[in-house]
Amino acid sequence: MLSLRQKWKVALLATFLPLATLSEQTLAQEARANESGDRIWVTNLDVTEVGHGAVEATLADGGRLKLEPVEATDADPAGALVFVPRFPLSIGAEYTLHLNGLGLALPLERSASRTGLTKVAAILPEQVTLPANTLRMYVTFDQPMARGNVMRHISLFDGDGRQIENAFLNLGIELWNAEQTQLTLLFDPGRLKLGVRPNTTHGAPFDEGQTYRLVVHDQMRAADGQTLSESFELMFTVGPAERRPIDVAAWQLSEPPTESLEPLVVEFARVMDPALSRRTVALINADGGPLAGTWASMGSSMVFTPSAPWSAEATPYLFVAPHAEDIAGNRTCGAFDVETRTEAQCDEPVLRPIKFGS
Amino acid sequence: MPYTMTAKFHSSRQAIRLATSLFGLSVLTAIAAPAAAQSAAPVLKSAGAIEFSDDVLFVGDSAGNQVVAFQLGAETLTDQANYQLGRPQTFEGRTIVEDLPADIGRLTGAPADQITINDVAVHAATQQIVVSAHRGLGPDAVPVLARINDGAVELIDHAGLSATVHALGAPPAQAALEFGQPAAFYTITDIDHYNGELFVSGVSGEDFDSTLRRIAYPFTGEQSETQIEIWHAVHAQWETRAPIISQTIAEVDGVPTLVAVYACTPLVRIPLSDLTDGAQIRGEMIGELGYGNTPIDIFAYNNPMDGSDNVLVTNTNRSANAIPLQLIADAEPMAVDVPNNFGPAGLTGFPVPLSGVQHIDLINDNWAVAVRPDPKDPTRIQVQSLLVPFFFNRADHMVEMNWPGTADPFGYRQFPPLDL
Repeated sequence: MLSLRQKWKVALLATFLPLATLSEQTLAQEARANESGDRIWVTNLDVTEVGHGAVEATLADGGRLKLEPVEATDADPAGALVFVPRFPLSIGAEYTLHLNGLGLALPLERSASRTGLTKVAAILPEQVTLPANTLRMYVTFDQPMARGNVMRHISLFDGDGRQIENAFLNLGIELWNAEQTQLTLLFDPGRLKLGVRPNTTHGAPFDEGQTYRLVVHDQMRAADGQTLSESFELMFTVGPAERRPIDVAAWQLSEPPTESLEPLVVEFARVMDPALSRRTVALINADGGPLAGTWASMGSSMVFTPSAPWSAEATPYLFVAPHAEDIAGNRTCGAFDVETRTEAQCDEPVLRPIKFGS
Repeated sequence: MPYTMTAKFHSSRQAIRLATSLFGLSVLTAIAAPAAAQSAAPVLKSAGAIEFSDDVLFVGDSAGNQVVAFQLGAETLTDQANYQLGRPQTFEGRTIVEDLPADIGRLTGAPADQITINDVAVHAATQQIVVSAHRGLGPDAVPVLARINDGAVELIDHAGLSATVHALGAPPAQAALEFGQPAAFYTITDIDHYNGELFVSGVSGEDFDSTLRRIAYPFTGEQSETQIEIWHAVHAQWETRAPIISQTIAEVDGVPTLVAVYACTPLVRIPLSDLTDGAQIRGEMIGELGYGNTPIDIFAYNNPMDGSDNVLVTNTNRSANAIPLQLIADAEPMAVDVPNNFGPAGLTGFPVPLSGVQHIDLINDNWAVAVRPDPKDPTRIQVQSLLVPFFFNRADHMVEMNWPGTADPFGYRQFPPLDL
């Protein structure tokens, strides 16, 4: 509700720039933002015209954000004045919205859509035994995360609970997917490569036969500014290093009967890279197009369920792209660790025909 | 009973200035008019590595999987020749900006901890310092370009600039069938311009790739891709797929040469003429900058003390390395059949006390600009000038001769305190 002083000011200034009208107010004005912070609503303020440059949001530390009036749509709250800030409001920051002509200063915050605190969905691969030369692991989250705080909040511990220092390659950049829900952790290749046994302070991160614990601490921040709901950890045991190229011919393939919808099970006999496999392993027709169906990753195997019954008329092929890798970086054309001058060029996919059972 | 209301301006002149400064529209507009600035889709989705060539600013846009070339004009590039960068006689640089994220936060209405500084580049003719930054830490972070004008941080309205775009396409290793899956996110780690061409390196979270892209400018849509194998002394065998983190191009014995540093950190030289499309070539590894370390930046500079040409490599975990180009020219490739070498080894040049520097570029022959934590308060990220070729600011260091009443072996006290 406007004070007498405000009404007085309005009336006074109106003599200079009489370009807007304001009705009698009965309810307290309120400012709110939408979830993405790029649309601001002011309610209980009956104004039909607002000057450009007359509205801004400020932060206690001096941050200033200009807002422009826009036309309300049906999606906006009825009767609200609508403003668009030059940049979205920052989550968690406490703004003051200034409606300068009225001398109004309203508190304003971006209302985060709370579906609960963000949590770790999984650490991949989920196998209990990983090769000693595992090159990377993935941490997936159920909501987008914030950049810039990974190294502080993810730790690797050995079986005695001692933290392994500098286990991950410090690239200076964080390897997120576009949605910032999947983070790649690269183990320092300098500590994984064959023959590397540096001094006692910088050994390989993994020793065969030992148990490890990868911990994502609950203090890691999500994109909504909140910390995680809880810490997450994965325990795994380290087995022998895998230094052989991927051998698709050695994979175990089930033989689903024709005219059935029985799934095809592909057993890799090693831990494949779970993120890369989604894009590099497929079933194709003779014409090269993908077979309709769904893939599910089951760790060291993948399962394909066709959307139409298997046909005896055409042989589908298992397609493995040249850049398919196992969790230690080995490809079909060669191992990650190769002898001097033996590296092959990886540009041909591997195709393997699917056999049907009866 | 309706009242009449208007904006609370102190004068109509101020009202006009406020109104036109942001959106350039008329003083007052009815609510029914939508804001024009919101309608155009931004060209830039993210702002990472940046590089100047004359008046063109190249911006590595990883989220857009593209390189954007902005043509900057006089409204963005203001001559900074009169801005004093420090005092060479006393090895004193100048803190140009006290807290860059805080300043960008104030200009964009965000807390300082929501601002990340991604790169710095300097326009040679005007010495205008430009930075790329992100406002926000989530996937919806907004790219920001800013300039430092006479010590003041100012936003560059990049949406209003003339720009051309080169789309990078799928990361090279994933050019094969993708079956509808989105390509893995590819982060551009460095862009270099040399003689009408861009050299773009990057890293993907889902493979470990050494592809370098070579792109003609002005953009034609064409690019060539080269896979570079390198001998890695730390690993005692061929390291085939380490990503290039930073590179520069310099004439080595008259031959244009790519000098690149890789993650965990071999230094490699490759004649540009070897970088042809589809080539899988073997870079000559001439140095190993040490284990457990990642390079940040590499750039070429001339040492004004002795006239020599050099490159400087800054690192995450070690001092920077200054390496004379003549040593790069003369270096023998490191032997391939030696036992493990945990570095530093081969050609490493001379250590330079530059730890903590996040981004660096040359301003002119005598000064470089560094974005770095304030030595006295690491929560503040300052912009600091550093004297070439020492890349050193005497005021940073707690040395006895900085204190009153102590010895003054270099005669610094004949100069009045630096008051800029």
